This record gives sequence, structure tokens and C-alpha cells, in this order.
Amino acid sequence: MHFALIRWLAISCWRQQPAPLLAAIFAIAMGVSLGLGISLVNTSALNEFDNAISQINGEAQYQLTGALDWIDDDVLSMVEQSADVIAASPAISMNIPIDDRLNNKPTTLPLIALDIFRAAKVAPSLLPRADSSFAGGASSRVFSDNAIFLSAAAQRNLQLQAGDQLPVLINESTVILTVSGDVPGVSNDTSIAIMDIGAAQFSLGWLGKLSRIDLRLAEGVDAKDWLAALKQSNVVGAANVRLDRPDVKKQRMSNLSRAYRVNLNVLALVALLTGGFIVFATLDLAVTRLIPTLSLVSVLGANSVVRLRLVLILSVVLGVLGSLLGIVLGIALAWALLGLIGGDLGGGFFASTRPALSLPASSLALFFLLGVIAAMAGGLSPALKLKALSPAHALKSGQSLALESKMSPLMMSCLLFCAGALLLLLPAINGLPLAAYLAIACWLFAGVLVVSPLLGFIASALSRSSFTNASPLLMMAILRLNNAHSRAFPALAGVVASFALVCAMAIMVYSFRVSVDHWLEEILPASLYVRAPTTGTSGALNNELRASLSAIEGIDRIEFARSLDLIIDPEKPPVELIARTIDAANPGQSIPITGKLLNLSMKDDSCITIYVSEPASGIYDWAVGDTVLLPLPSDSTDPTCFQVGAIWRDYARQSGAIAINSADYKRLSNDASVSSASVWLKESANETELIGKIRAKLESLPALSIRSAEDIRTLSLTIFDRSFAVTYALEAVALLVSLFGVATTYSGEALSRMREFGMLRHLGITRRQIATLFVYESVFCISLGVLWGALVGSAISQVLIQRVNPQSFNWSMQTHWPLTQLLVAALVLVVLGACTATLAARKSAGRGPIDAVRTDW
Amino acid sequence: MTIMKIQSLSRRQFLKNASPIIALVAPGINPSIAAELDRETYPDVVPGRQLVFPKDHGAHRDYRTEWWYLTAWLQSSNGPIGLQVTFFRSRTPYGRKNPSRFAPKQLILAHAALAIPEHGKLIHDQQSWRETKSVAQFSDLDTDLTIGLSNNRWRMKRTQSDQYEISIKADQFQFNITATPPAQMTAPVLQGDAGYSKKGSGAKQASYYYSRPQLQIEGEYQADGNKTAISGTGWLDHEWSSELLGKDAVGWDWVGLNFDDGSALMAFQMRSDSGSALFSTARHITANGQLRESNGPLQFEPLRFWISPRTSARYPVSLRLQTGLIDIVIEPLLDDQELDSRGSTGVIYWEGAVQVWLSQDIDRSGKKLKEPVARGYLELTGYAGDLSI
Repeated sequence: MHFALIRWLAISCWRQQPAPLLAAIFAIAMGVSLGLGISLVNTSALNEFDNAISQINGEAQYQLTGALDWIDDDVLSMVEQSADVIAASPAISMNIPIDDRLNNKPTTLPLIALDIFRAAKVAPSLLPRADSSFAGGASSRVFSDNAIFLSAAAQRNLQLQAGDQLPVLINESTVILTVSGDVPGVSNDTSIAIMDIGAAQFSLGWLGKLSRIDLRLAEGVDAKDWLAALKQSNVVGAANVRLDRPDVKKQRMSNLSRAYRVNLNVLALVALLTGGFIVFATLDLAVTRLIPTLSLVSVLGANSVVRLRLVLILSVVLGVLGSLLGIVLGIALAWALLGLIGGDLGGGFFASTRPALSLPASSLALFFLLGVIAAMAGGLSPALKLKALSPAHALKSGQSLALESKMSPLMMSCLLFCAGALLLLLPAINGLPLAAYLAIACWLFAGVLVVSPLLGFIASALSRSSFTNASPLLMMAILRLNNAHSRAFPALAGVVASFALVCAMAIMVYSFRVSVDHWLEEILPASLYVRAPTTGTSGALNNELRASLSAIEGIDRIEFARSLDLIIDPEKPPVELIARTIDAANPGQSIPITGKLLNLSMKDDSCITIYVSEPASGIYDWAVGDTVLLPLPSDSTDPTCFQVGAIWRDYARQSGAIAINSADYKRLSNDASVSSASVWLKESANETELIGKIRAKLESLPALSIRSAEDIRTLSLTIFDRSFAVTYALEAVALLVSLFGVATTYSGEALSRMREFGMLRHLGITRRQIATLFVYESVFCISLGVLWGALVGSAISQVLIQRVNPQSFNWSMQTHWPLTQLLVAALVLVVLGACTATLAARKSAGRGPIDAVRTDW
Repeated sequence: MTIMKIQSLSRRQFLKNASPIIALVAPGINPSIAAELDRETYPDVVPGRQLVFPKDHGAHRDYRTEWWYLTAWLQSSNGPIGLQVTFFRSRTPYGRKNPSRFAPKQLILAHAALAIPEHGKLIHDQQSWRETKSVAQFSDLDTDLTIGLSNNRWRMKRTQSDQYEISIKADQFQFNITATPPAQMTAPVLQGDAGYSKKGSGAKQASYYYSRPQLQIEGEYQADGNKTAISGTGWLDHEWSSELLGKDAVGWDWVGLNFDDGSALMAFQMRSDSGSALFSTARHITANGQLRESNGPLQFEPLRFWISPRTSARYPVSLRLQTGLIDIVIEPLLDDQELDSRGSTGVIYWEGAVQVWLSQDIDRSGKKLKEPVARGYLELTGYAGDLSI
């Protein structure tokens, strides 16, 4: 074969242009490292979540739970009677409010209460170990009424050890528990508390109730049939129980965070895509420069296959080197991210986890391959171009050649655009907007392909206008662009692609932020918001406390709400049910309704009206007017029917929320407790003073949070910005990579036109004038690229806003234009591009004219 | 005497899950535990209380600890096998005012083992529960104990006709047996002073204790393969107490033996650190239920040791026992009847089926000149390191 020849050519290519090739390698590395880094952080976080969940679940085969947070413990007796049950372990799972001594603030600690005897069979890792140094002896502690066992991490975080007292505020009274040992079976970073289930039912307000029953059924028992039989029993609450596989929680988490994770990965791949464009630009230029050499070699006998192979091998080498570097950088990035900010990249799904880095070989291989493929794709067009080279012709003409593809770029671009438009009609696949992502890719390529015909069209239009008469140099620049617009394509492709994507992201994020801001204004009409965490099975604010709150002077109006989690589909995370005052005649006053209200003529009077959030409507496919069944506790034997009265905007609860009128909820569930209050102040009232008064009234409540509407708004927007920090960072990288592209292409371009510049010098044009000419050209090109990129980006942003977001997250938003941001980004790109071009032009125009004309041979 | 049974039983299998049981059973081990538990009151065991049957066959829920313990030497078509079942009740000092159905007021624990020579070691299983209606319950009126879900249910019940029905369904094995007292011994054999059995120097260190020796056992078992009929003689102890043990004991040796002539023997010694006997007693029961105290010093003399390959503990599995009335040699059904629970509790002991020859029937070379005269169970604790927690 001709490997020796190819090697020689490749090395000569490297010797001539190390900088652009290095830049191409780096661009690929950047894309690979970002994609891999983000993917690794997400995988690690998900694994950590899985570990934590399985630690809490133990090895149960099934979990019997209710639609609400609890089930009646009579259900356990029922379960125990079944001949098919091998093990049944009752558990209470709750968060207890405590003081975080390290950070000196109230916090909560997950607590599992269990029967050690039964748990030994299904969750041995959760068994407590009494401390031997304990006064009274280790062995006496496990069943003790006030014993609580803290895992090593919990002891560390709370600065507590065996023998210390832990006051826990439960439903307005303080329960003093004694730290009596640890939980040796859980991992060193799992913060968890264990108690005896009998003691917990009594002391923590769970008498008669359980969170779940961990089950093992006999072999060959059909879980569905078994559950159906259980449901037919007349035990209270048996009707609403469900049987889940323990991994359903991981599945839920995975489902819930998947859209977010995929979005981030797609963003990271944008950098890789841009990298591919840079490889294309670099190789295209390199090929152009190699044409004379190659022509000679070809005339001497090297055929077209050798030429094709040369470029492909070059691109593969670039891809492999870039990917390898990218993998190293990606692992380092993931490691650093996990160490610095933990496993949560802003989505809030894995908040406060510090997972260990996991390195699945499949991810490494995938991103390596993606890097190589991107580089090869970048090299494909130059390779084909070179294959089609007619050496004799090239030798004679002594200059580069424009190779026409069989289909005009304009045509291809149109086809791609239409394909993208069609893809947009497709629905989400498995909760992921895959078609929309493909549509974005189509439109992006369509936008990029059309750029050189567009440039030609504009240049030709300008050359006919009188605009160019002002300056001969400008005219020359325009004329050159008019005649050789396809030469500008490599440089422009990267600019258009990266700027389009930056624009699209910026527009989407900005629209989202403004929408969130408006939404916050709508949902926070009151001045103060009081929230008491639910610790038992009922809300923390009882009638007495409510009355005493309402009586505080300075309060104009106060509205109470009760929220609780409702599991509607075990595969999906719980929906938050919010019982609050809603004016049935005008619900828009209480909640930010989007779209239309239920028409009165459609109203089913036998049903209770509920208002579902956009995510809930998307996840469960509920439309206004639909009647739905909710697993709410009810004394009535007939299932209660609910009708969707309206859909409201909600950015806070991604897994969905349902608002219901307090009166309806109270009537159904007999649960009159509430967990939060919205307080309107009289105009004369002093906010700080009032907060103090409320605190005094609610002294007995643990971990009470009182926030003003303004605080909540600021906090929410801070959280928003934090959650998009990674997005901003990725945008910046995309921009950076495209700057690279501009720099490398223009320095390459300037070099390859040295002969042309030499000729111009012969004609008496000064160095400065040549530089100016080149700057005109490049500024014109870059500006056009940026402008066109912005247009393409705007189109893509609409795909993100109208398709990707609703399909991934089930929320809608209005478009808002971040004009300043875009303008700044555009200017930066143009100015930096012009600077690079100037430098490059100076350098190549700097040689003597004779020299310059000669060298390129 | 089954103190050690409970001691070892509880340590063996329940420490991981329910280490408090040790404290509840044997507060003497740790004075500070006793101090804490004393805050909750339990009835004292006092001399002179007359045991009334069938009521006293039932549970005495106010007392701290109680057990029903059945051992048997059985014959099957596969040869001789040993069988042991214990039901153990413990009243904790906790949750007395707690209305929760899970309040840990009463715990029920159970242990069952089969000694089959061809297996080379014990097959055993255990369960522990807090008192739970129909899953872990006991009767206060007669012996009637249930523990476990239906897939794994264990039962011990005394019938109106004074038969014990015992059924055990464990993962590795199951058995169903009935145990019938012999016609000459219809009344329970009251141990100690009319059922008041002293266990230490303090007045309160005592238990109420009666035995049912020479039980005629019929039934079937299944360990691997088919159900196999079994029959033989057994021994049942029922004992309840609130305070039992002295502090300085490191281990115990206990036997309950059924002689072929219809008589029976219970003997035990409590050993100190140095290996010397701190306290020992033996009681002979004639074939018609008469009691005879031993009139000479009780002596346990090790004849042969077996060293556990797993734990390196050295057990005197063969013993010569002299009570003054009788001089016998005790030989195990199989050497390895060690219960090793290092994986969970770290406690190891030996509890196994044995057969007995008169010393005079064995010549100097150890050759047995006649058939064995008795069968029963031997328990050896405190040989595998310190028993204390």
C-alpha cells in the first residue's frame, strides 16, 4: 500500500501547519471532555442515588405502599395472614426536624423506624447497633422507648455521639431521644437515623400508621393476583395500597432527571459538533495547500484512493488524538465537578449528594467514538474533494480548485430544512424530545450549508450596487467574495454553527427566566409565606395555632394550605396535592391559569373540580374537562370523581401538582390540618416585627420557615441561575471553540493566499492595503456568519421553547429576546475575528513580493 | 436446667437482632444493666408458691423470662437423630404505656435444631418476634405457642389429653411430633423445692421450674428428601423467672437423660473462671415419678475432647458423671454438634444428643461391654472464649 507515502504527506502537512491541526485536536478534545465529564457526573450521581435508595430499601422484593405517605397498620395484619408471604417488615420512613449543629441551622434527618426482627430478613443493612459504652449496656438499648441510632455520617454531621440527647420537635411537642448507637450496615456517607417502630409510632405521631411494608412473596406467586386479593379484603386503607418493586424509586429518579441529563449531554455535544466543523475547516485548508504537492505525486502514479485515504487518515489521527485528550480532560472535569459542587449539575435532582466518580467503560468508549466520528465527518468533504481532483489540470492551473458536488448546497439545505420541519411534528419518544433534537441538527446543517451561496448572493448584489464605489479595496474584497464565495465556507461554517447554538440557548434560557420571573410574581401575591415541615402524617398547623395566627394584629388576611404527596402512578414520582382556598368562579386569582377554564356547560356537578399544573397535565395526559380518579383517602365507598377545571403554570414541581379547594379536601379526607400559610399584611404593618410575632406564636413548631415574597423570588431566581450555570458555561465553551475556528481558518487562509498577496504587492498595493483588504473580507464574512447564525439560532430557539421544553419538562414559556447579550456576543466574535484576521494578514503580507510569489511552489 | 440453653440460645442466634435479650435473661452479667432494668418491676420468684396446672403450663407474662424447651433422642429408618426445640418468652422493660401494636413489651423467640449423624453437623433455624396477634403469640392458660408466618410457622401446644403437639416448618427442614408423658408420670416433675428452683446465693435468684421427662415421641421429619417417621424419648422443661444468674459463672454443663428403665436424671454445674464448679445439682426421677436427691458430691469428668475445626474451641464431648447414686459415661451422637454463630453474635457453644453407658459396662480400653442405658441431651457452654458480651 502507500502508507509510507501517506505518512510522508501527513508529516509534511503537520510541519507546514502545526497550529491549525493542534487547534482542531483541541476542539475535538473540548467537545469530548465536556460531553464525557457531564455524562460521568450524571452517571455517578444516579449511581449514588441508587446506592442510597437500595441502602434504605434493603433487599425487599416488593414494597407495599399507599397512595399517600402512609398506610393503615391493619394492612400488615392482613398481609401476615396471607400464606404467600414469606417476610413482611413494616417501616416508617420520615424526615425528622433537628438542629444542624455544624451549620447552626434547622435541618431534617431521614429516619427509618423498623422492627429489627422482621427487618433482619429484608433490610439487614439498616439494623441498629447499640453502643457498648452506653450506660446500661449496649444490649438494653435497642427496644428502648427513646433510643435513636444515628449512622456514622449523621453522627458526624450533627456532632452527636452515643449517650447524647437529641430533641426532636414532633407535632408541637418536643420528644427527647437518646443517641444509642450507630447503623453499621449503611455506607459511611449515608446520613440516616433508625428507631424501633413501636417507639416511633408512639413518640413520633404515627400510631396506627406505617409508611410501607417490605415484602417477600413465596416463589411462583403472582404479585398482581396477590395484590388484587388483598385489596378485596375489608381492611381500612387496603383499597389504595400498591405493590412496587424497590427499584421503582431509582426508575422514577432516572425518569425524572432523564430529560435534564439528556439536555445537558446534547448541549455538550454541540461543542463536539463545532469541533467537527473546525476539523473540516482545517483539513479543507490543508488539502488546498497540499494540492500542488498531491497533483505532482498523483501525476507520478498515486491514485485517487491514496488521496482519499490521506485525508481520512489525517482526520482519524486528529480524532483519536483529540478524543484521547478529551477523555483525560473529561475524567478530570468530572472528578473536579464532583469534588467542587457534588453530583448535582443544577437540575436539583441530586442535590446534596457527593457521589464517588464512576467510570463506566461504555461511556468512555462512546465519547471516544463520538470524537473520532466528528473528526471523520469533518474530514469527509475535503477527502471527497481531493479524490475528485484532476491532477493534470491542477498542475497546469497551479491553483486550488473548487469542486462542485452533485447537489447544490442550496438544494441540500432546503431538503434538510424541510426534513427538520417534518420532524418537529413528531411527538416525544419515551419522554425525550429526540425528534426535536434531530430537527435542530437538520436546521443547523441547513443553515450552515446555505451560508456560502448566501455569501455569494449578497456579495454579488453588493458588487452591483454603488456602495462599493467608495473604496477600491472594499470593492476588491466584495468582488473576491463574489467570485470565490465557496472558499469562505470552511471559515464560516464553524462560526454559523456555534453562534446559532449559542443564540438558541441564550434565547431559550432568557425566555425561561423571564417567564419564571413573571410566574413568581403571579404565585406570590401575599407578603409573607409561612411553612412548617410535615413530620407526622398530618400538617403541622392545627386549629388552635391557626386561630392564634389570624388574631395577630397587623395581618390583613391569611390563607392556609395543606400539601401532601400523592402517588398516582408507581412508575412516576409523587404529585403534590395542594389544598388551598381557590375561588371556583375565578380561579385565576389564586393560581396562574394558562389557557382556558372549564366551560360551565361542561361541568360535571357530581365531580370535585381540581386544577392541575402543566407538568401534571403533560405527564398524565389530563386536559381541561377530563374526569380523573385520585387515590385520596375517603370515607365514602364510591370512588370520588374529580374534574380538571383548568391548567396552571408551575415551574416548581416538575413531577406535577394538583390544586384543590381546601373545603373539598377537608370534606373528603377529614384532614383539617394545614402545613403553610400565606399572609397579607395591613399597610401600616411592619414586616420584620410581624415575622417576630408569628415566630413567637409558632414557637413550638420545628424548622419553621417564614419568608417574604421578595425573598422567595430572589431565592428562586438564584436557584434558577445556578441551575443554568452549567448551560451558560457550555455556551461560553461553544463560543470559545468557534473563536478558535475563526482564528485558525483565517490564519490558514492568509497563509494560503500568500501568493495572491504577493501578486497584489507586484501591482503596487501596499502591505497595509493588503491587510485592510483581508480585514474587510473577514469582517464581512464573520459579520454575515454571525448575523446568519443569529437567525438560524432564533429558529432553533423556537424549537427549544416550543418543542424541547414542553416535551422534556412539560412546561411552556413565552419567547423573550436577550438582545444585549446577543449583541455583545456577536460583537466579541466579529471583533476578535477581525483581530485574528488582521494579525494573520500582516504576517503573510509581510514577506517580500518576489518571495511570496515563489514560496508557494 | 436450661439457663444455659437460654443463655446460649439467645446469644447464639439473637444477639445481632436482639441483644437486649441477653440483658433481659441474664441481668447478672452486667451490674449496670441490672441497675437500669430494676427500674421496671417484675414479680419476684418466691418459695412456697404452689404450681397449679394446667394454668402453670401457660405463659407467665409478668415475669421477665420464660421458656419451654424440648429435647429428644429419636430413632428413624435413617438411624438415630437428635431434636431440640425452644420457645422463649421475654418481657422487656419497654413500651409499657405505648398503645402501639408494635410496642416491644413481650418478645417471643424460638430455636429448633436437628442432629443427623450423616450430615456431620447440626441443621438449625430460629425466629424472633415481638408479640403479634396470630403470628407470634402465647397463651396464659396452657402451653400454646405460635411463632412465624404461615410459610414458616412453628407451634408448640399441649392438648387436653396432656400431649404436646409440636410442628416446625423451617427452610432447611421440618418436623411434626407429638410428645406424650408416660402413664406412670402423668404429673409434671417439680424441680427444686416443689417447683422453686434456686439458681444462686441471693433469695431472688431462682426460678419456677418443672420438667416432663420420659416423653414418648412419635412423628415425622423431613430434612432432605422424603418424610421419615421418627420415634423415641424426649424431655421438656418449663421455667420462668425474673432474676437468675450469679456474676462469676463463665459457663455451664447440663444434662437431661431418659433411662431405659423409665427413670430420668437432670444434672448441671456452673463453672467459674478457673474451671471449678461454683454450684451444682442433680436430681434423679424414678420411673414412677418419685424424686431422689443425689447424696454424694456431683462430679463431671472430661473423658474426651473434640476440637472444633471452625472455632478451635475444645469441648469435653465425652464425660464421666458421678452423682453418688450413679456413675455413668456420656457419649455424643456425633462430635460436631457445635452451634457457631460468630457470623452474627460471636458466641459459640455445644448442644447435642448423647447416649449413656454405666461406667462399669466399659472396660479400661474404652470398649463398651453392654448396650447404652440412657439417652438425652448435653449442653456445654463457655468453652469458646468469654461468654460475656
